[in-house]
Amino acid sequence: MKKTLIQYGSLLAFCVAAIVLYTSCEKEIDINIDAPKNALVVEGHIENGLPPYVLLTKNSAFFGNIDINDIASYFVSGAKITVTTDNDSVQLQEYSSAFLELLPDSVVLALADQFGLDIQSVDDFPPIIIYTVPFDETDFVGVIGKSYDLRIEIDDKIITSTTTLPEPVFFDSLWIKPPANPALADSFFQFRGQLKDPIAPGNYYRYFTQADGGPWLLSGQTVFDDGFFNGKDFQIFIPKGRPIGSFGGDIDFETDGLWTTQDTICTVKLSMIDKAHYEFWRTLEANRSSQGNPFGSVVYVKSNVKGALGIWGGYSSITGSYNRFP
Amino acid sequence: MKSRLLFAWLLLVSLQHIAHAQDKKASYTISGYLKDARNGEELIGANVYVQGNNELGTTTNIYGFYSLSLPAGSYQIAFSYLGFNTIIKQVELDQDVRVNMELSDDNKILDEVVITDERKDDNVKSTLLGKEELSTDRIKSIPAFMGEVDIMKAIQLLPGVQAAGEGNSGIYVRGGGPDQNLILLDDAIVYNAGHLFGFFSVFNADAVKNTTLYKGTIPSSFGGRLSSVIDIQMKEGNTKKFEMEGGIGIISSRLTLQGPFKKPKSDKTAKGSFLISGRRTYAFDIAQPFIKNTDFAGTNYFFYDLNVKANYRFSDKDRLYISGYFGRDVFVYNSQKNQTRVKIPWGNATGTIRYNHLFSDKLFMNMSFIFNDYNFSFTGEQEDFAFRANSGVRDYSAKMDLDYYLNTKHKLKFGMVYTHHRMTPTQASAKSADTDFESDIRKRYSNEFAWYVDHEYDVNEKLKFNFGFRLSLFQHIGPYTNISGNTLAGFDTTYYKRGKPIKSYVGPEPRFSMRYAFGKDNSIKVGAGLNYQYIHLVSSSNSTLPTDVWVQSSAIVKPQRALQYSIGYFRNFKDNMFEASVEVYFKHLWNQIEYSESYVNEINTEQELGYVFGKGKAYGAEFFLKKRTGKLNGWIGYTLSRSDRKFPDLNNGKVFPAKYDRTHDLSINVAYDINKEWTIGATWVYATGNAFTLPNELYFIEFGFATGYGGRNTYRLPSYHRLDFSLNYTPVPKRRPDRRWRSSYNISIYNVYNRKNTYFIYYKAEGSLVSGNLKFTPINVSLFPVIPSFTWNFKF
Repeated sequence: MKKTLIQYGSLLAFCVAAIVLYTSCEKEIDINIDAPKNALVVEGHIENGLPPYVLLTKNSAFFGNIDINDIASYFVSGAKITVTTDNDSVQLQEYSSAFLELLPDSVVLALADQFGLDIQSVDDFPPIIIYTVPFDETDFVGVIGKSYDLRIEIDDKIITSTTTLPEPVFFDSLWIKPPANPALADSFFQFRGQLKDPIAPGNYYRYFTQADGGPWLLSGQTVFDDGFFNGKDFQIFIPKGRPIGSFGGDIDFETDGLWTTQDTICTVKLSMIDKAHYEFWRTLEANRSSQGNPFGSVVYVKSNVKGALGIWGGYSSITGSYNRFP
Repeated sequence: MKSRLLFAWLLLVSLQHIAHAQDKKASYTISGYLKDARNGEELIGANVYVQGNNELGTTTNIYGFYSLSLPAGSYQIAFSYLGFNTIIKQVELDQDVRVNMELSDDNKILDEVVITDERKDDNVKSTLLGKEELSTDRIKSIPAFMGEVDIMKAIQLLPGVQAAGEGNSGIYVRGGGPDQNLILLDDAIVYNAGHLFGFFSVFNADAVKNTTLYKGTIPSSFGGRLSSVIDIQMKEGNTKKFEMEGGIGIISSRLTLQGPFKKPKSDKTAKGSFLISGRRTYAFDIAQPFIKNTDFAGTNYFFYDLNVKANYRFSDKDRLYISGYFGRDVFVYNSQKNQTRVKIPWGNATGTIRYNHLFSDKLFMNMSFIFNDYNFSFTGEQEDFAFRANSGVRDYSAKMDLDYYLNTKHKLKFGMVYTHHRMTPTQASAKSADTDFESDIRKRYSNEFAWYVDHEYDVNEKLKFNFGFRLSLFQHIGPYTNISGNTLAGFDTTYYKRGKPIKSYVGPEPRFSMRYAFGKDNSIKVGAGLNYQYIHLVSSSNSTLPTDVWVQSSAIVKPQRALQYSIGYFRNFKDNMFEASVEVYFKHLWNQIEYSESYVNEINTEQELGYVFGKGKAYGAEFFLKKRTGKLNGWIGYTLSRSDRKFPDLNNGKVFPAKYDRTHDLSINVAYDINKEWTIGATWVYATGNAFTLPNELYFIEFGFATGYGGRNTYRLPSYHRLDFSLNYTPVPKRRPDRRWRSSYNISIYNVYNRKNTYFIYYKAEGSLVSGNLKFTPINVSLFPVIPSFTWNFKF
């Protein structure tokens, strides 16, 4: 009897605690928000061995009249875009998706690859406008150690930025091991690498993952700096990312970042970036994750582009894979 | 150092001579201690005055001591304290006399004294603006959230004080930030006064005697914060008899033991007494049997507080107090399957040794040696990876305060304080397989000195002044390594050895207040004060979190500074049954600190590098009506206010409302004693919604979205209102009314009409842009619905 009473007492207390923890209530609401000022958004990159590309879009009100899923309506046409390095420069060509067929398939697929788009053919390319090298100047590609200036002229606006391609760094070795929870070992595994950070401080990393040659995947935090591990030689867990541009859905924290046993070839691309480029992604990722967090704070994305929002970023990348069944 | 000591000694000796010289010339002094007759606790802020002439009077200091010098003669001296019967004693003043008095709420007549129900009009007659005292008994009648009596939540109901958020015990005072409140427990600073992310304060009401809030002109004996001082005194411990009290509620249980070291004879008080008071939550402890056999066995959360105090009277002139507080929140997360273990303890520890000495009947000295520490730590392990981080602040202080009661017109308070700060920024270390990592952010050290003098001058019945001056000096000292430069230009390293000053700031802090009384029960008070603050806490979220790090002033972070003016009209009605006041204040704030707009917390980066600096102003009007006595008592407080900030690097340099800006803030708190056994209480609060920033802009990057923000803090959460109710039942044993064992019961209902107050608003993003099904939904999150609670209290 005493035991029963204690059990009931415990159950009651547990219920009270649970009620308090789960009493929070969510409901949808309507909010009127002031419209933002019109602004242009630059998303431009240049990577070692790859030609530069720029996407030029418009910002929109958080709840604007434009359907956010109508991608085409955001893209801006008619800009004069020049990329310059040392004494070499190229004026980028505007391609709407309809004209992408002018480019060699390999370039289109390389672009799709950079965007993380999971497409098999040029026809699947979304209805967007891309500025990249003219088809006769595909040899204008990123070179490690060089700086690249971007200049965009549109209407009476001039937008500028500059970025560099730092010395690349890559994992000394890659391997896999079972997950921490043995019960998951049948379906999942961890992907790991041994990384040696250069002695000099101020190294900034961004990484992408890929399973079996699919699209590049991004995890919640794709950038890190060496502030905490400068010059160290250490093991790192390489989480499998999620398809880019996807939100919501339930994250299973027990398996998040683990690779599945269906994945045969685990690929990681490790890119060295400069500080301004790092700060853009760092603040962008914080900007995204602060949504929905009562203790989170407002984080403004730190652009490295003058005259617009966005990023002009250089990547010095090295890609490596681990084949589970070589 | 020797010369300083010599100077201090000479000063004391000369003051004694002056005091004696004064005595010989014209007057004699009546002095002593005022105590609560029930338990021998000293009464703080009690009134002692010449019957029929309220102007010839004084109040007891925080040790219950008073001193009143009067020309030789025969006087009827009144001793009064709210809630107690006033005692009037005939005193023949032909020499210095010592009168220690015990006040009681019993109606028995004692020898030599006359009991009256006369009350004093302190509200009207004191000089200080923006000062409120709350007795713990009064606080206990306020409806309690989940049954936990909370001093900080009682303070929130006063005008000019805002709650930091739903269910939160944090406060914002007169438009200032949460770090601008000096919270003292027996002279020791409590750096983080909240448990469980601030839902409960760390102060166990059973161990607290008295709470005083200063939000206007802060006396010059206090310093180091801009907005307010919350001075909390722990009980000394019953000097008459052993006593045990406690309670069992839904969240925690409490137990307090107190009593004399040696039982005194008859009704006398013992020379020494002690108090031990503890509180601990157990909701999750009780849940342990249910998770014992799960993957999460060992996962737990609890907090506890322990207050201890002892005091001993060596002679009528010397007394020693030792007190301490230790409290912790502990969160443990275990997952055996994932080989994960996380432990996060955080909390405060304080220790105070105080020595009181009476040099003469006019000169009272207190010396304090104080230790306080706040520490947050995190340890986490998973497989072969381990991570540890900790941060905190630790102070050692020495302080001397002297109360010098020259005569009925002049009273001086002066002293000095020295504090050594050790600030620990977030220091992280990790181990991954065979590699160790350690952040190279180092602790910082500083000295803070202050000298102050406060002169209370009673010009005549109408006019009274209070002049104060505090001189503060802050030094960032070594050991410290300063690294300047950058990767391109190269780095320059300077090492400062232990104790070597690196950056110093001096703060002259004048304080002034004045009262002009007119009519029977009216007065106007004016006050102004300049305050410096050298230790800062910048929080990126709405409430302070245990992870927030206190940062000291440095070459980069200049001291915060505030100049406040206030004016008030005070009026009592119905023979002082009602107190009413209107206070208007204006505050200039300089060197205010916020995080930069793109700040992201990084391990191994000095936090001050993420700060931006600006100025602010806060102004408002506070209306207060209080019914002090009678079966129905309580108050209505309303504040109309504004608090703005202007930072060159925030909001495009334009003025924006501070996070603490709240246009309307209304609190109604009433208690009604139905009879000796039953009391009901109710509280209703209404406040303009918090200012916050919403995204107004969307743009696409990598086929995901980024948000841009419109004006800073330009949106308002819906207004906040809530009604709480309480019922207290304290049965009086009818058969054996003198029985020592007493029980009382409290039922509290939080948020009676189940108002869904907004805790925060966010946007939920779902779908994918590439797939064409991206969707944003604004979501309103509310936290606490109606929550009833029950507490059983006992006393023996």
